[in-house]
Amino acid sequence: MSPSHVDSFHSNSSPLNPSDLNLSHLHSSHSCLLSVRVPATSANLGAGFDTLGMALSLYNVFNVKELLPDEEFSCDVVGEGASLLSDARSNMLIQSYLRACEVWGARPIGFALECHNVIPLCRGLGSSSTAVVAGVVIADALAGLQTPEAELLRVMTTIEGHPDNVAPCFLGGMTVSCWDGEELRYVKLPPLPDDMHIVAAVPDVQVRTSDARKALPKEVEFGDAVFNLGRAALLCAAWATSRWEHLAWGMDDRLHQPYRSLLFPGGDVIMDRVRHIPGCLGVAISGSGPTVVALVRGGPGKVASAMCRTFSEHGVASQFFVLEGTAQGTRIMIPENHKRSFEQ
Amino acid sequence: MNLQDSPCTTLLSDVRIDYSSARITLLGVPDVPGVAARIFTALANRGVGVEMIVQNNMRGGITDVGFLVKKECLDNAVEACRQVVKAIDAQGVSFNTEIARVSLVGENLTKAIDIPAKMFSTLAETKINIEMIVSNSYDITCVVAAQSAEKAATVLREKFL
Repeated sequence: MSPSHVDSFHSNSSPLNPSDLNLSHLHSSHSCLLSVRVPATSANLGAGFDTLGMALSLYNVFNVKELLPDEEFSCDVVGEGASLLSDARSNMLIQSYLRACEVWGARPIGFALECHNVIPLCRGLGSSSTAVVAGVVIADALAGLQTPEAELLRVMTTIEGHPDNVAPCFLGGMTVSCWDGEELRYVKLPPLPDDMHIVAAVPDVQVRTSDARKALPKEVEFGDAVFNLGRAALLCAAWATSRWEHLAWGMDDRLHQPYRSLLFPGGDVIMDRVRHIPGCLGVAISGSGPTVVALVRGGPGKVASAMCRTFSEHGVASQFFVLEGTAQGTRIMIPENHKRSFEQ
Repeated sequence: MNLQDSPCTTLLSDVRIDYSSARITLLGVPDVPGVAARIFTALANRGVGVEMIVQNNMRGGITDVGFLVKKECLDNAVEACRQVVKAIDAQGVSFNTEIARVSLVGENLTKAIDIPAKMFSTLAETKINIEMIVSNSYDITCVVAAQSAEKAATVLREKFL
């Protein structure tokens, strides 16, 4: 794994003078062997259906507490999915870990896993992708392979089936990715400015993936395809050149959002209401929904309040997050003493 | 209303609703000395006052810290939290502006040991979820969804006043 993704517990790149605070036990008990911090993602962004994805500053943290005999695992989940994900045999991280070991011919060392999950499940914020990415990087770390970034991403994409979540999840920032089933091409775009917020509204409504797929048309009008081509190109060009005034057009879409916004109460209303608030540069359904994300420059309060009010008016309980399009992707943190042993 | 079965005289005088606050929660905060000081110093430096601070039980070395701010301070509060979360490697920031504080107001409330149980049972029977609770001798306040506030106040008035 690339050194840029590896930290020790004793390093910290915070811009806010961390020296006055002892962070040496960060997300880890003393016995933790390694810790993987993995961001949420917003895929299918605007016109970039199945192509554009963005990492968000909301993180699941996975700790490997101790090593166990080969193919023996335990799993303790705190937070989101605590009642659903604790069965080690069906846990997606462990399944991804075993798959990566198999692909690379690595010994499937068992381990005790502790998950601290804050990314809501099945809401379009790439929760499952965090498990896939973490499983693959843990396989790489425990086997001491130092696998190149492109190969790690290829394995992650093979497991996930599409690249638009795992690419930004692993690399951070905004990524453009294309996958032909065997080969992956990807480009990471420049980071968002510091004063750009991403407000995410997560309604407590589960949209089944099968329903989200069924909602899409089997064929699209030629005019709609041309509309999306132009918007997707504009979105990437605007992002690459910091021409943020074009984001609203780039986030517009005719292939998926008009259909999927009807699958949850208030979806179409929130998309229309939020885009007109001053400071809102664009609004989109995250993944296949039902989460809605808005990019906001300056204070996010008005957009945040409007999103809360809209779902409340439609009788939907919701969670809301103020995030940033984090430039940093997955980080694996290894205590100094264990780092030396992994490198040997 | 005088609660005759309480160990001393407790007077309940009012049920009030306040829609002026928003709830902010810092998720996955490292449970080490100095973190709370850092969070609330950052908020104070931006002129943001906070109420009803709640820290969850720590598990695995991390915890959640939630509190209320006035809605008009939301922008400053969010910016302060965003900076702190990045600096201390917390897991994220969530918020909700569609909340209300529903308060049972009176005197000597801490002496009436049965009032909290009756209040929470009344809300539970009405299927109203309590997000946060704070109490002192002159009020017991529950944070509930804004949509449920009127209903909560109605059933509490019927029960206690």
